[in-house]
Amino acid sequence: MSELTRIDESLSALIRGAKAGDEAAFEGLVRRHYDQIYRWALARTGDRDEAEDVTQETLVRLHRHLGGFDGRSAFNTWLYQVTRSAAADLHRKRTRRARLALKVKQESTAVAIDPREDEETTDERRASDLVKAFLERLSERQREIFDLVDLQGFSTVEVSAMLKMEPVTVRSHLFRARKAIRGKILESHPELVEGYGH
Amino acid sequence: MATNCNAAFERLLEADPAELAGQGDSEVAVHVRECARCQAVGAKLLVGQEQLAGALTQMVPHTAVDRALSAARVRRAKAHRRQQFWQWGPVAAAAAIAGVMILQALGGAPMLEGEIGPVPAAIVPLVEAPAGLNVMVFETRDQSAKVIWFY
Repeated sequence: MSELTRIDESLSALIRGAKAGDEAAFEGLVRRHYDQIYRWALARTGDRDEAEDVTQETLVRLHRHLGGFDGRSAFNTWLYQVTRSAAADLHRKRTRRARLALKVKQESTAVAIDPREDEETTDERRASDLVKAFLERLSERQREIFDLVDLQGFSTVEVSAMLKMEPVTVRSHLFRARKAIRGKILESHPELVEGYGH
Repeated sequence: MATNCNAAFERLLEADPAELAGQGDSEVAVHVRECARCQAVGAKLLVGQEQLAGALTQMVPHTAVDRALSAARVRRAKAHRRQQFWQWGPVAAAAAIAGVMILQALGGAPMLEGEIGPVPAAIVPLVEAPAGLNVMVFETRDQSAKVIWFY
């Protein structure tokens, strides 16, 4: 039995068990995909705190909607859609709340303290700054496509299924994202760009 | 060569990572294999993307999976209770209203909590009030004790 088949079978067993109400199987399924869900959420939101909330919401929705997973698409594709929908809903809520918070903030002079300041190690902060510097150049859609294809290795066909989008549209977003990211990379290496006529 | 490099540079900005490394038969990959300058650009872009991928991999959730699971369990339980309330709450309310209406239709208004009901005729009074006074008898939780108030 190949490694891939074994992985597929163990995943199927977890999904079957979780659908039948086996809590241990559900936990197994979550443990297996937890970091992946967070990563998707992070690429989608571009914000660590928001990504944590999206991950949490996705776990609740995973439990609620798993019965509806019929195996017609890959589990990853289905789970990605659950994550995206959780991210979109939370984003809407946050936008509403942010409007209210802005009102309060305008009336207050209190200094905001970043709760993550003590939790993050220097390496994490450096990584976080790097990611932020790059990803903030991209739109939400470009960010998620660039992360899925170039950084996580999904094919454009897989991503088009995950996002329910034409492959040609996926590629178009991908190219724009690459151009923005690579432009940023080359900004710190002007000697490499010298001599090219733009 | 200069025109080729300029065209290649533009395409390097959009090329697949393998092409940046000069792999494959595409025009840009072939050019990268042959041109040291574009090869250096391709290599730098690859390193930059790898650093970004590495940085993203380092960013793991702060909430441990066990904590996330138990938080999700609590939220699920709350949602379940809320769902049950909305499922059965209206049914219970409708049943209560129907009960009240039936009792009213039968002639007797239902007793509300705290309301003093009529004394059944068959019950012999516990105590008789002295002339000129009223009496009230209060039941207590202790069935052997009663409070009698003359006023």
